[in-house]
Amino acid sequence: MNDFVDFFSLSDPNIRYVVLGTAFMAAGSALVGCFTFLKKRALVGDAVAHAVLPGICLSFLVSATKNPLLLVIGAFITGLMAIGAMDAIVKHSKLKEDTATGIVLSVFFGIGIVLLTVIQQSGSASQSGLDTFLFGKAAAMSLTDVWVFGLISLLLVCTILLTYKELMLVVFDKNFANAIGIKTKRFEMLISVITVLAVVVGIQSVGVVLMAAMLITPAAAARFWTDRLPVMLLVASIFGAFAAVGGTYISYLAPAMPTGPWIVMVISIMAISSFFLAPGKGILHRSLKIKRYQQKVLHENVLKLFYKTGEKDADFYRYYSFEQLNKLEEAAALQLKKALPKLTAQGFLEKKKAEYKLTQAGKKKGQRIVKLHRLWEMYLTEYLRLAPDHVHEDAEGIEHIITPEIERKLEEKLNFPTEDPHQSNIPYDHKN
Amino acid sequence: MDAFWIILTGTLVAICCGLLGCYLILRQMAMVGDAISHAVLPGIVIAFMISGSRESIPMLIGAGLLGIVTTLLIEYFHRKGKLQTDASIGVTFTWLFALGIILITAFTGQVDLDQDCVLYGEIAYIPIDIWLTEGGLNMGPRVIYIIGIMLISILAFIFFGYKGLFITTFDPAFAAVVGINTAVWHYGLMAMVSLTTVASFESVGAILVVAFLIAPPATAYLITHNLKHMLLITAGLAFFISASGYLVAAAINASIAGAMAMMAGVFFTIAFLYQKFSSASIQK
Amino acid sequence: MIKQVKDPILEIHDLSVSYQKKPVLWAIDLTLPKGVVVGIIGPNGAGKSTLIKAIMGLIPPDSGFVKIFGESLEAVRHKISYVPQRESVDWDFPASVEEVVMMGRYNKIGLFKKPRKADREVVADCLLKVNLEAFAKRQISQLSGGQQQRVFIARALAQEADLYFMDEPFAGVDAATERAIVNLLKEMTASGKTVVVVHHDLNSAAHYFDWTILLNLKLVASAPVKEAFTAQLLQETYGGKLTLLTELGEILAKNEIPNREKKRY
Repeated sequence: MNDFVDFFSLSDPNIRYVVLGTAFMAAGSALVGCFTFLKKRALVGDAVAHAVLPGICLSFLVSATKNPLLLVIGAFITGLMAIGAMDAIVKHSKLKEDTATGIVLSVFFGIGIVLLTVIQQSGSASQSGLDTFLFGKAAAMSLTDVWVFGLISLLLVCTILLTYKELMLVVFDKNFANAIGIKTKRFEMLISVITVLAVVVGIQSVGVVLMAAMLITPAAAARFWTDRLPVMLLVASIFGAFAAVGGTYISYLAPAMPTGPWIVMVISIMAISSFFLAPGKGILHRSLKIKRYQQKVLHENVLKLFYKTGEKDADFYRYYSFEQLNKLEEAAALQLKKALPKLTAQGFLEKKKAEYKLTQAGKKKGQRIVKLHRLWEMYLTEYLRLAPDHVHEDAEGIEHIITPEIERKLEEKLNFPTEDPHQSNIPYDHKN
Repeated sequence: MDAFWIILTGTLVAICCGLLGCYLILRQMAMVGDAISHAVLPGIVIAFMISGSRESIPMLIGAGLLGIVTTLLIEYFHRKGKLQTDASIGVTFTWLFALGIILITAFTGQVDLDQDCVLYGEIAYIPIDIWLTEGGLNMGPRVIYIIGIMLISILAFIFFGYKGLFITTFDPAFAAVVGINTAVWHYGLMAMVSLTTVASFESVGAILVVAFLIAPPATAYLITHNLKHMLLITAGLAFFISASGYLVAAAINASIAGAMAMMAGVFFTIAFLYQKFSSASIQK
Repeated sequence: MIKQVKDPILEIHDLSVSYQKKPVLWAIDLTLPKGVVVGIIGPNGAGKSTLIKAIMGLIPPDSGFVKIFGESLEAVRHKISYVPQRESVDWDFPASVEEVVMMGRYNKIGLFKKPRKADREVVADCLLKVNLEAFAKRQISQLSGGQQQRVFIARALAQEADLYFMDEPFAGVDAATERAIVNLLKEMTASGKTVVVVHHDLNSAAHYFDWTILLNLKLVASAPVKEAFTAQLLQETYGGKLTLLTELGEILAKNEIPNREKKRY
């Protein structure tokens, strides 16, 4: 508990710097990542993250200092070169995007490692710590770092806000954007620039390999919660910031634990949870929807059974026992057993002792399903020219999804038929 | 003598990775290869913890399994989760790699490694194998055996599976219609890639594996229209990249693995410029 | 006008197929005779490619079954041949014309054996039939669109099958290739083979095919071409979407409801 308070009170300036710095970094990366995600070029961020290494090393070699601004400039240059190289490879050869990304990623990084080891061999005093600059040591953030990251993230946010409309068009409908005169090339360049910028800031917290996660994963998570870009941007940056703080906190609790991987762990868990739990698009939600639909089908089929039996007996309000019902249709007894009490609770059935009968509401509902079934069978025989003995299966499924509007259209199209292809009566509701 | 072993190891590893990489790039799965090479880290660590040593067989098995798991996860997120392919790859391998690093730190006592090096991203594999020099290469007869066995397996796979790989890579729909099980070939290839990447880490480290998987095949693809030639050229490049990489590294006293990756890039660039400007002149 | 035949080479019963959860084929019932060139005609999105893919097992149907030569698909795969759409492969692939055509023999050779002289002769013969014998060693990216199409056809011929499915073989080919393919199809049916072709152009359809299937989400007609090509039936095929089916299809897709749920209770 003490740890919690100590940490979140942000009284310790070191903690303050780390929390703020990583939160800014993560939020900024998440924002930029949304755009690369939507352009379906999420792995470009991975390549850029690897490609900044040679730039940083070259900067150091040339300037012999560890001035963060110079290092950032160096990173920037090779980062942009990487994007240019990937585009050039695809444009001027038969190689595809995935190959281009992989080559740029590994070759640039290899060159970076060569330079890094050369620097290490030279044994110059100021180069110590260059590695941590590159491979992520969030725990060692200073006030200057926080300022730099904060400003850069602010710059990213402002850029995106200012060019929001154009960026959105370029990402979603490039042809249209071109057609209305937007210089899409410039905006794609802008996306490249902000990607490199986000990477340069981010790798100092999480390291080169995991940088891709800070770009891709918050965006992927946010995508499951909304279809609208502004909301997605907001959600992604909140997720990113949350993961940054969370990961830093965990690392604080267990000092041996590296911060970068824990930030990635938190955001990954958030993303995977989103894949499952998000309403609408989430996997669980979709399977729940399907289960609910199956139950609706089951209930309607039971009421249909009552109604059809009532048709045969010319009395809709007779009582039937479970055994009688079970015999009438080769049904899964368990399903039937579960449905009967539920339908009673909903007011479609009435129960007396161990027997069930339809209520008015139940009869109405059962009648509607039977009507839709027979109407649809008419439609299939007339408009699809199916043989009468082939239409039953289809109608068994469609009867449950025909909406009242479609029902009306069907009636009109078929001219209010009274009999289905099997000469069964089509029951219309003659009330009012 | 060292030079010989280094170049030999590099060549053998490059051949293994490159041959498989030919199929990866033709199937447009180059980045899946990159993903697998990172995602196997937790498998290696767990295998290490279970077997208590760096014996290669448990590690290979652990990694092989995790490679398949990675492929399955990527497909699950894509198909069931309806997540786009590039994001499925990105989310999966970064998460698994982070998991791997966390496991290494959590079990520092049991896993032989240096704390700082864990943060070195991909060079994370080096600490698991104390034989690695700062250059990232490991030499010694044991490694040669492993890579040798790997190479023979891959050659057998490609030789006997030539037609199966050929047809499922070029036209999987047609293959399915004539009754070929495309899934078997797909997962078979992924399993080989997993095993190869792990067997290679031991010796050359992660930087180089991805470079070897993708760059030499891409280079070969640019200069030939024949699959068999592409495989042969890739193997030939393997030697030249290894040899030149080593020489460069020795000359400027730099990372051997990095230098080899760099040379892979150099050869690629030459081939790229060549095909670009010679095709331009043909068109004129 | 849905004509059923006795002893059909292909029998489709109550076939419903969805693409991305949306039904594109509703309850198709038809039979096809042997030894004819069949054209599948319909507007874009009518389910033409989906139909042949479902028959060949590339797309699982929501309902119904298909019988080929009176048997299930698995039993007769060696008698079926497929010419996919040209865009479905990457023509930069490092293979020669010969090597692609040889793929048609893999079934007969066996996946793990070497091609024999007989196989090479079949390949050469098929290349001759499509006028590509001079291009045997050429890499496939160096071919024109029409030549690429002919490579696919030669590959299908090399299978020496009895029933051929072709997906838009006339799309984007030059006039000479088109004529050559039409003649080839007629030769094939003359020797007893059956060819089912997905086609995009109504005008040429009347001349190319003996039998036509008209599709527009539902089966409009399946009959000899003269009987199927009436003004009324063509109007039904091309005269616009079936709004009710489309609406219902969209409800099914949006809610991810499988079309034709098996009876649960």
